[in-house]
Formats: sequence, C-alpha cells, structure tokens
Amino acid sequence: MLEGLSHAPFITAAYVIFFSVLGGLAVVTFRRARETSKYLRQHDETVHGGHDVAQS
Amino acid sequence: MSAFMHWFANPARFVRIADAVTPWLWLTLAISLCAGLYLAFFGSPPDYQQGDSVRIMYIHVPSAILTTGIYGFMAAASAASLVWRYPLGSVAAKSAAPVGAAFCFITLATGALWGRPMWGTWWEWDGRMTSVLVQFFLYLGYLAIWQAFSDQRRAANAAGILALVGVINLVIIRFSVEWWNTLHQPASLLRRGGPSIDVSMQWPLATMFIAASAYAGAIILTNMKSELRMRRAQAQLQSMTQNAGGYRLETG
Amino acid sequence: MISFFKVLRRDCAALIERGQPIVLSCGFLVLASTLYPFAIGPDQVKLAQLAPGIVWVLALFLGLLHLEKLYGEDAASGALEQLAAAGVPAWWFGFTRSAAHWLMAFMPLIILSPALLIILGVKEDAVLLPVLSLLVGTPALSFIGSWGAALTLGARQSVLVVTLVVFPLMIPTLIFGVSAAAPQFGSDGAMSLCLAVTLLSAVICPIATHLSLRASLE
Repeated sequence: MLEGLSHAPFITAAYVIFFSVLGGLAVVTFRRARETSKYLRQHDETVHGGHDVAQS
Repeated sequence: MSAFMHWFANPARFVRIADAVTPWLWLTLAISLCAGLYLAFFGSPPDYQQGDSVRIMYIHVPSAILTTGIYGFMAAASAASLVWRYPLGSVAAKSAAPVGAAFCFITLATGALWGRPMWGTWWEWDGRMTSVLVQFFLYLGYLAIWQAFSDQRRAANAAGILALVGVINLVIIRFSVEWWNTLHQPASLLRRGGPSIDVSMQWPLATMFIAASAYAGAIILTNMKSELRMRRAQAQLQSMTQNAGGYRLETG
Repeated sequence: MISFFKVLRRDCAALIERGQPIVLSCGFLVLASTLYPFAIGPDQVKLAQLAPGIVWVLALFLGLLHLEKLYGEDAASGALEQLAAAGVPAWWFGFTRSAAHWLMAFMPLIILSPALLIILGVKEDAVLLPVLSLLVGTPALSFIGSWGAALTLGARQSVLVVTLVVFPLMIPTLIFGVSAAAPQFGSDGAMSLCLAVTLLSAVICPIATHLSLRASLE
C-alpha cells in the first residue's frame, strides 16, 4: 500500500466504470428488445396482409 | 443430455421458459446488488494491508470469473451449434459475447484502478493481466466476425469456429504467458494470497458474484429473445420473397 | 494424391507468375527494419538486444500483409468450387495455401534475415539462432493466418477483421519464437516449444480451414 495516496478516487472510478458499462449494456439490450418486437409485429402484419391480398 | 437438448431446442418453448425465468433473475439482481453493495462498503472492514482499496475486489473478482465463465459458455454453445446442429447454440453464443466483453473490459479497468494505489502501477505485464488482455481481443474478434457477414448463417458458422479455436488458444496463451513471465522476472509483486481471504470479505464477494451472474443471465436471455425475433422476421421475409418469386414465375 | 500435389504446384506457380508478393515482402522488410535505428537510436548494443524481437514483430506484420489475397481471387473466380468439386478436400487447401503464404511472406524474410540482423547490430556468430527460430516458428504464423483468411472469406472489411481475429492467436508463436531467438534468456526449451506450436497449428488450422471453407462453399 502506497502511503500518502488517497484511495477514494480509485474506488469511485472503479465503481463508476462498473455501473456505467453494465448500465450501458442493459440500455442497449432493452432498446434492441423493444425494436425487435416492434419489427416483428410490423412484419407479422405485412406478411399476413400479403397472404390476404394473394388469396383475394 | 441430448434428449434434454432436443426438448429445449424448440424456440417457442425456450421463449416461454426465458420469460418465466427472467423476472426472477432481475429480482435476484436487485436484492443481491443492494446487499452486496452494503456489505462491500459498510459490512466489511478495510484490509489490514490494502486499506479501503480492497473494496475494488468486490467488483473485480466477480467480473474476472464471469469473463472466463462466459467464454466457456460461448464455446460450449458454439460446439453445440457446430457439432450437434443445436439451433439455439449460435443464438446463445452471440447473445453472450457482448456481456463477456463488457465484464472483460471491467476486469481490465478495475484491475488497473486497483493496481495503482496498491502496487504503484496501472499496468504490469504479468501473466494473468496479459492473458485477460488477450481474451479481450478474442472477444472483440468474435464480435467483429458477427458484424462482418451479411449472411447470418455464414457468420454463425465462422464465429462458432473462432470460439472453439479461441479456447485452444486461451489455454496455450495462459501457458505461454506464464512461461514468458517467469523467464523475464519472477512475478512476486503481484502474487496475491488466494485462499487467505478473510471471512468478512467472502460474504460481500459471494453476494456481488451472485448479482453479476444474475445480471449476465438476464441480459443474455433478453438478447437471445431479441435475436430469435430477428431470425423469425428474416425467415418470414425470405419465405415471402420466395413465394412472390414463385408467383411471378407462374404468371410469366 | 496426384491432384493434391497439383493443387500445391498450381498455388505456388500462380505465386511465382505474379511475383509481386515476394517483392512486396522484401521491400517491406528492408524499409521497416531501417526505420528502427532511427527510432531507437544508433546504439549497437541496444539494437542488437532488440533485434530478434524486431525481426519477429516484422514477421507478424508481414504475415498479416499477405492474408487478404490468399483465397479472394480463387473464391471470386470459382476456382475453389471447381477444385472442391474435383474431389480435393478443403483441409488440403489449408496446407497448400499455408505453404504458398509461407513462400511469399516468410521465405524472403528468412533469406534476408541474416542481413537484417547484422544491420541491427547482431554479431555474426549470434545470427544463426534467430534465423533458426524463424525457420521453425513462421510456419505456425502461415497456418494460423491462412485459416484466418479462410474464415473471413467474403466478409465486409475483411482486412480489419482478419487482423483482429488472427493476432491474438499469433501471440504464443511470437513469445516462443523470440525466446528461442534470444540466447540470453538461457532457455533450451524455447526452440522445442516453438516447434510444438508449429506442429499443433499444422494439425488444428487445416481442420478449422476445412470447416470454414466448407461453410463458404455451400
């Protein structure tokens, strides 16, 4: 342990990195989940719509 | 085992199970994170040698374990996908990679922030640190492979092969880096006493590990569901264009 | 078996016909190794200490330099598919392309390396070991590199991706190669470890190339 060096900034920085990286990843993951479910819903509609047109 | 895998291979069933499990993982994360942070900052004493900076250990060590653990999971999933044609394998491996890379980055960053007040150095070319760095590059290469192909089946195959070759490479790297390191200087400076962690530090460590694992599990499952949705939409798109092509052919 | 050697001869002949890669290798080596004395300083002792490491790092870059074109043209012209249809197994490409890669990248390096080492201040009697380590270790770089090229065949920005994928895999070779080249580390085992890496990659990489190419030929 090095004397005369405050540990607080290092501990703070470590926890800030920990939470911001994992938080960032969580945000990206949720956004992707929302986008994909929206995309799939639109897709289902167009696909079924397409079938209807073909049948008529 | 293979019967279990076949039972699990049905994507609809997987999504049902994942939907059931994910809320519990988030709950586990919330409880264990609160408990772990309390224990890490108030419930445990400062180390008699390291002082308060030992509190970095409670995020560094779980991240380091998960970095390796998630890589092992990716390799197993890739093997399942390549060898047994297990359809969810490549989905699982692809979904786990960003989480593993994130934990790997955290391991490197917190390691540097722990090393500076402890040993007076941000970075040391010591065996363990060097192999974590190489593992980070492997994660980046794996993620880059997924981005590089427009054909997702081709990307899945290439990424799977890379993950498996990467396992062999990681073993060789661990060995070679240790060997290289002892060749140049005995790394006594950074040799930490592994089993001599005090009981008062084991509790926050274990709790934070549970929190990190629950986070990893929840994110991987959410990612897998997104990936399955994307694949379903693409499969629909493909069959639609094929149908349209057939229709054109008939009328033409 | 005859068709196997035909493929090997064809790969090497195409190489010699083009000729360019070998010139590129030589030019790169001469230019890059002349830069080091300017960067580090003209101190002969210091340079001689660093020389094996410098030559090995240059070998790594040289290996990466040639990966882009290794399969690209044949894949685009359909030659790979024809050869595969003719019954040449994909793992054999792993061998022939690695041999071709070694000939265009590392053969010039090994021929030039005594001169490069002497320019960098190494004494005549200390030249043999680094050259031997290159001879033993560089085939591993070719095997790993040609697998990387096969893996990223048809990828976007394949140069970037292949570099990212391949270079962590080359680190053990670099470690053992440099250790085998530098006698001051006093390790007899380094040369045999270097050989072990080459043999291991000679087994694993063609199999991995086989799997990768089969996926791209489908």
